[in-house]
Amino acid sequence: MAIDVLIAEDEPSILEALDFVLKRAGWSISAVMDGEAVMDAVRREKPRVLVLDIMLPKRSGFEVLKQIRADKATSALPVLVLTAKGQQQDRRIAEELGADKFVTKPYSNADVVDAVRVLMGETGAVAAPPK
Amino acid sequence: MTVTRRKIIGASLFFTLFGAMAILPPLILLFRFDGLVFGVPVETVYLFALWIGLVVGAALFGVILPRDEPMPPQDKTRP
Amino acid sequence: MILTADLVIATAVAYVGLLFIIAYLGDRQTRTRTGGFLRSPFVYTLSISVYCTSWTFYGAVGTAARSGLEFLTIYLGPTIVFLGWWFILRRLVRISHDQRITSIADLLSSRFGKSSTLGVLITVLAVIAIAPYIALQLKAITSSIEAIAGSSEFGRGSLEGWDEVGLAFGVAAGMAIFTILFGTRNVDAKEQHHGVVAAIAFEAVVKLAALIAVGVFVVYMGGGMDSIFANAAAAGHEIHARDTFGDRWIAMTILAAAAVICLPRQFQVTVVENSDENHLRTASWAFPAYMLAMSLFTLPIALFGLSFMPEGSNPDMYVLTLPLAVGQDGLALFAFIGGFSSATSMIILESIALSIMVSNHIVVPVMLRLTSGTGIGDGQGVRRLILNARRISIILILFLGFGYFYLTRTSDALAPIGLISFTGVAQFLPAILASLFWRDASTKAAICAVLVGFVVWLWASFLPSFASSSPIVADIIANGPGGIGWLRPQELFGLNGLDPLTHAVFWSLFLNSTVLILGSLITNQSALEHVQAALFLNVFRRTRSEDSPIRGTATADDLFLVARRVLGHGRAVELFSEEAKLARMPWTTLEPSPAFIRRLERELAGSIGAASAHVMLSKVVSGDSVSLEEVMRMADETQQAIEYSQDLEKTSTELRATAEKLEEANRQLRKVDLQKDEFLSQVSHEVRTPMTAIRAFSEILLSESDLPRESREKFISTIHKESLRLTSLLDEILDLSALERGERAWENRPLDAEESLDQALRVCDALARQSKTKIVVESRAPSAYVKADPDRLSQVLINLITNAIKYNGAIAPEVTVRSRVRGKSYIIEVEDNGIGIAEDERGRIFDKFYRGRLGETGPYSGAGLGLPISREIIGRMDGKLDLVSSADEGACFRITLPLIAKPDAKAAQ
Repeated sequence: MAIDVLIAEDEPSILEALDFVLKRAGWSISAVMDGEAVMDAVRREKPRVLVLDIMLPKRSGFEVLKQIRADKATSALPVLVLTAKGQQQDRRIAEELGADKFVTKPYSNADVVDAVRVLMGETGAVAAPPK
Repeated sequence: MTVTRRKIIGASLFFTLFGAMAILPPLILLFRFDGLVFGVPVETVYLFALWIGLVVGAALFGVILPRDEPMPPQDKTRP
Repeated sequence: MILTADLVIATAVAYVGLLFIIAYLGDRQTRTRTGGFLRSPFVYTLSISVYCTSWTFYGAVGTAARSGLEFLTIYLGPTIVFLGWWFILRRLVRISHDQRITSIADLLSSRFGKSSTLGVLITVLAVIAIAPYIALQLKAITSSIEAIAGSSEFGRGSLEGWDEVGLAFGVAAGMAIFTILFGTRNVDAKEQHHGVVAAIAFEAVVKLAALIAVGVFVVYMGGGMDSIFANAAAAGHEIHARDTFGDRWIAMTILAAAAVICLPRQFQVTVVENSDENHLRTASWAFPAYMLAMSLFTLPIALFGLSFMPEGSNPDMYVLTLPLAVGQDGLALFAFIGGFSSATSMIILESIALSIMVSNHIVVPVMLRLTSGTGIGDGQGVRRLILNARRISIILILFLGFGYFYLTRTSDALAPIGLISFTGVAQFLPAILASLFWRDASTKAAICAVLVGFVVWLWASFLPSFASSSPIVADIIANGPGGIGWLRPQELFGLNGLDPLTHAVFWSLFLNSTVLILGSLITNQSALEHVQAALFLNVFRRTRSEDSPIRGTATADDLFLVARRVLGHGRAVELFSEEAKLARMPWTTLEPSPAFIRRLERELAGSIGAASAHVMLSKVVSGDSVSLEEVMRMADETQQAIEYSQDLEKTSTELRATAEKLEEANRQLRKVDLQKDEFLSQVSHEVRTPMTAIRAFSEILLSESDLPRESREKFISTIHKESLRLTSLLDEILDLSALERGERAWENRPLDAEESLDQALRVCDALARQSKTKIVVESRAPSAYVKADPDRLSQVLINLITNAIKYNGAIAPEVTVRSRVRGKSYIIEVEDNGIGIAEDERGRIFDKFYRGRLGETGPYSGAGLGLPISREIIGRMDGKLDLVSSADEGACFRITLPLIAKPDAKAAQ
């Protein structure tokens, strides 16, 4: 079954907050907490958007992103990258690897929702929840 | 050890001074004792052997001393 | 075949004819530019071998017979000079090339402010000093002809009625004609002696071959080296027994080393005729090798001659008389040709070199002085005058030699005559060395020094050689002039006990150098001297500097007139059209640039010497020398540049050391800077994570008013938890930074560390059980008193144990704790059985914010400040916290604290 958003984030409290906010926006959510699990989850759950933290255990967000872009089946998946360091260099690397959007921690919930919405192709307020 | 231009020149200076020391007293007096090498007195053998050594050393330095700073061409080679 | 004087003279003339052909072919080869081989380093080396004259060919055997190994000094001295070619010869060649130096007199004149006085002085002294040397060659040729003539009944042939003097005169006259024909066809000393050089090189081969042929023959006749030495020893001629290596050995070595630089002909072939600096590389070993080959058979010939020839025969002629004595006429003739070769090559080159000096430094300057600035003869005048001057000088030089021969004909040996010349020319050495290495040497001092050295030489060395022919001289030697004892030529100032040669060498060179040094210190240099000194000293440094202070307003016409007179019409036109082409204008309207005037001066210097060229051009260009101010300004500029570069050189070592230090400091700074950046970015990361959660939940709470109560409480508690995490992070950072600044927020007091360990183990028990880790307490010290703070020590221990639990990763996790007392130390070790710490991480494990692989990816991510804080705390207790290699794979941390005596119960409270 396809879900709307897959979240890859290792901080439990941040994950909880994201989960709550994105569900509130009307999307179905699934989550993984380390880098190795992301690929499997993407293949299995076929999310429309991936929210990806860079500082992931086991396999970093960069590696995951590279893997996603290398795989034909997933190369078109829109990816929103969360950077904790908020540094130019991380951003640049993610951009080169093919990230579609960035949100820098600490973010406002609305920013994340807007970014995900843009990536879904639903613009602005007219977007209706897919359900 | 890195062999630099300056070290080679220094070695060449040492070699020259060593040669000068070796043919003069007191060093040469070391070889002033009774003894024959193939029927030739030892001091004679020493001097000639040293001389050959100096020639060989000079040939070596002739090869390894730096070759930069070529002379500007002589005027006469101009048209 | 019966050898007669007629036959050898005919052979000699034929041989001279052969030399002519070689010289002619050599000249033609270079002219048609196919003369590649004539410019090879080996021809160059062979031409340097003109050093080995008939003194070597005949005289060395004589010296060996009389004084043993002493003859070797004459070759060992030059060997050392050529070994050190990089330091002296290379400079001379480069300078002479740059300045178009034509002779040794020109070199010194040029260095010392283009002083014509010095040039004249050196020339005159060289001519006088060389006379004995020329005489030596005449004597050698004469003696060798006499030896052959006397060897058979009809040997004298048409020489019947000629005595030794007549024969010598004939030889001198023949040589003069030969040399004039050979060496004075062209005017430019710099360029056109390739034919002569070819002939000299040929002669070098001939004399070497002849000497080796005789040597091999003698060794064969004597039954091998050892039997020659053994027979000589049996007959009492043992060179080994003689006192060879004394003051005379040193003096002769120094003399020979000086001579190979200062003899006019050596300077000519080594420096002036050099066409490529790199030829010195080959000559540096090939010339010593040549001399070695020339000396190889000297001792055997001498020793064999001593035991084989009748008592009273002249050892100087053994090379010739030994083959004659056993009837080997062919070999004897070859030996004669060899000796003749060595004599002729020396005479030819020496008189060419001297004649160039005479014409450039005496005849041309006199001519310039006699004529006014613009009236220098007609077009061909200068050239013809120079050539004639050279021809006359050659005749003069040869007959000075003959004169010396005539006056000293009663003395027997060849070598002492040569040594007199060597001592004479050695007087140039201090000035030459000063010109290469000492900027402050002044012209006046150089002139005085050379003069003083020369006067001493005349008195102590030259004069005594006439003792055998003049009773007056003999009296002066015995009693001093007019009975003044301290002026006796061979015991000057009462210095006796020295060998006469050593005596002369010591006084002449000592006084010479002293005058040069002291004189230079008390006199001042003129501006031109300054410039020239700088040019000589910096010959390898400068790129293209002003080397002529001639500036002025001469028209091209004036200059052309001068150039044509000296260089000849063809060369002058060539020079000027070239310049005109460069300037892109017809040369009738040419404005001569300073560079062109400079080039012209160098061209002229090649023909008439630096001093004359300078005077000549100065006259033409401005009717006067340059204004003093201008010269001074240039001198100042040069001076500044030189001083600057010398300072640089002096401090370069220092600078390099400083630069290295700076670089190191810079590296450190960069490292610290990087660390600071990293620290900041780490802090920012560590702060952002809890901040993100706090912000996210606060926004949720703010925007969602209809949240269920339990969610609301859960979110608030999360915010609270994250705030606490933030607080503790900030505490840790502040704690660490205080510790790092050296502050200590506690008082160390005596305590039992075992109690702190117990406390820490208790605290960690819960965590261990929760994560199913077994804590093994292996062995414990009974009690251990240290100076510490109990809470802080516990904090460290707790940190270590919880780390061991949290980052273990083993299937059956186990943490081992042990403590013990070793000498004056108390040791606690905390070890786990996990995957351990990789080799590349070990160095960084105590860095701030550094988290091991497990720490970064495991379920527990601390801020990475625990270990650095722990290490700082233990450090403040005068202890150490280290990561040590553990027995198993896991990590093992060790705390080492110094023990103190157990305090009494009250104090411990």
